[in-house]
Amino acid sequence: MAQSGDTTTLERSRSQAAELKSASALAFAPNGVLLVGDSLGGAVHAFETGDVTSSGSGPVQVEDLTGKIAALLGTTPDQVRVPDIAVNPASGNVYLAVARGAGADAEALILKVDRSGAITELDQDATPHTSIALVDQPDADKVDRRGNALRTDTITDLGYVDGKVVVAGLSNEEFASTLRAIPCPFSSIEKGAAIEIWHGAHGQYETNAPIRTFIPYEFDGKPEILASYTCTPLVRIAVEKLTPGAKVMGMTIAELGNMNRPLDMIAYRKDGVDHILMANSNRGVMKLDATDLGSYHQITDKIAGTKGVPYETITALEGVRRLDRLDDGHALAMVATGEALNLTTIALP
Amino acid sequence: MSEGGPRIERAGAAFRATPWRGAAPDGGWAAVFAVFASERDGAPPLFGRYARAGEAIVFTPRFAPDPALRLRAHFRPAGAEPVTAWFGGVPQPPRAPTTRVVSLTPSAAVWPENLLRLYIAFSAPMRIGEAWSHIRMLDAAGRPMGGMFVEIDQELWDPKGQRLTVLLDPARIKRGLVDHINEGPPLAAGGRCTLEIDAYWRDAAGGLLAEPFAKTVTIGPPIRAALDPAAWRLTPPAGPGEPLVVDVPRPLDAALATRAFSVRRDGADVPCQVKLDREETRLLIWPQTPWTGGPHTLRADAVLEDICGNRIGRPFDIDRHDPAQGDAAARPAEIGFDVSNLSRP
Repeated sequence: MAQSGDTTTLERSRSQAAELKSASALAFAPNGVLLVGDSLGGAVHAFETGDVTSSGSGPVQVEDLTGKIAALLGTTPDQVRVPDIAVNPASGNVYLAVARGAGADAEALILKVDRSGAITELDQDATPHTSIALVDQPDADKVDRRGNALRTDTITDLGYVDGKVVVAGLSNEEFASTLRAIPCPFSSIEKGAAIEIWHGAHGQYETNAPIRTFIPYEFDGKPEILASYTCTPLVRIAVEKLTPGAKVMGMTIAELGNMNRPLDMIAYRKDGVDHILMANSNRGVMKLDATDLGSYHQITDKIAGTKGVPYETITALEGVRRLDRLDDGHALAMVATGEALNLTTIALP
Repeated sequence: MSEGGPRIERAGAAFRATPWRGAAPDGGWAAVFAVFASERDGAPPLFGRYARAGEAIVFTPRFAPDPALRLRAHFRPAGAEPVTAWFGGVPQPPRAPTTRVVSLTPSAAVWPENLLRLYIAFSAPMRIGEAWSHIRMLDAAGRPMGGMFVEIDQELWDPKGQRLTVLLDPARIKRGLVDHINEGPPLAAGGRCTLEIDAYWRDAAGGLLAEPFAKTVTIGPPIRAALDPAAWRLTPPAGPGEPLVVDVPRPLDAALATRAFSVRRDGADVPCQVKLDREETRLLIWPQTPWTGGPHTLRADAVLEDICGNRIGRPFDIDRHDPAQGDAAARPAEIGFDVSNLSRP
């Protein structure tokens, strides 16, 4: 990792290939350190990109993203997936997690898009990196009667929060959550132990609650995460509670309508007011008023419909699959339009 | 090399443009020699690396291009007319559809209304990223029922891409949540529904499924109690090479049941393989080497779940108002059994 010099682990891995088996989720730590969640490899990799010089301030616009990537990689657009995007805040360049191939054995690569829309590949072998394995699941390596290991943890999101890499995962077998908070820079000894995340409804029912997406957020100067479970829109969880083996109950602060799950979120400030922009599975893009977000208390009473943090739906934005903050006034969106996938710069509403 | 004027050849994995004399061009090699795999508007040339070999510029693509793609190589030699050459474009024979759904669990014909997950196994690795457009639940009248599944983009596959886990929407299963209150559970007790998988889903090699798949089930009442090992019935092995049989009163999660059980003897692991039978209500635990006589222990790890996410000692959604569940916590279980009477064949 770049920012505070764990040179032992960094030096050791300079000469090694990252062996990225998949690229499921991306995020940036300070100083251009790219965090890559590798679901199939059961690991998080931290690449010291060295990309720390501003690349300009123009909008990023790439039409037919999968078509262009397919042209670069010598394949057809249906053989290209882009599971996640992340803007490097140190440079303004955009990074893409890309799979070349249709199946689980697809090649994983990281592409960089600059402000002109030019696409280049991050050289995984030549970029210094550290990796940490996420293996603490009992009997995770047990195999079926044909000798195949079948269990995977899909990394649904990750982020750098208060000196830790927080990794949210969803198992393809047990329902229990697998949130991890790994001190960063990675040490070669410490594993990312799983934390049990719980969800309480009305002070009565409690269940495990896997996290689907989250962002770092400060409440009263203290680091927390604002998260969406697979089952409810918005909860807050204090980072200080994220210790290995802990049982952590998220606090529900908003219900945003029936049958709706956030896909991605960003936080921003405009005209002195804090907002959260949220891309949703069923209800388009929402702009939440985050003024006094800390004043919303646990929703414990039975409700129907919406409650908690007020929001408006941005009807002009459709098909948004992923979001990241491009600069103070703009967001970068990956938008699905019919069969095409585009990268679009949008003014923060 | 340069006889006959400028030209482009394919040499193994590489493309060679000749002749180029003198220094590398100011704009880099790609400014004078590039290979395109797409004619779409604004399509960039292939990624790859350039090298100089005598009077040849050698371009090696980052990935071997799909043989079916028509490749256009363009070379602008200094002081001569540009050259374009075409390569590839070899049509691939259509693949006969051979991949099919080989199992769907739970395999019972009755599913509880709070069923948490399904496993769909295929005979070959599948294409990832399009599951949600090929799987649907239909009601008794054949109408698609929306909002059933947790449709995460990444999809929950095993490492080979042959088994997909489908989570039913927990917001509609967990009691007390808005979607449970307003929409009810994804499956309603007393009803019938059909899980349908269409044959337009392609496998990882590009072939369509050999046939569509459908399974119609009746929906039964929810299962909201923790797993209770006291209700499991063990039948010790009938012979040294025969299985320990464990009958459980409700179906277990098929994936977890095959890895959550282990057998110990004198504190040491007895390597076994678990096979499920009777719609995931019977475990056949086969020893890898013949049993030896004496007391054994069957252990179930705390990760074990039934098909509704209930664990040993802890139901899926704990009702904290119920004094019996106040301190519910998932735990492992151990049950003793004796291996004896091994003289029988």
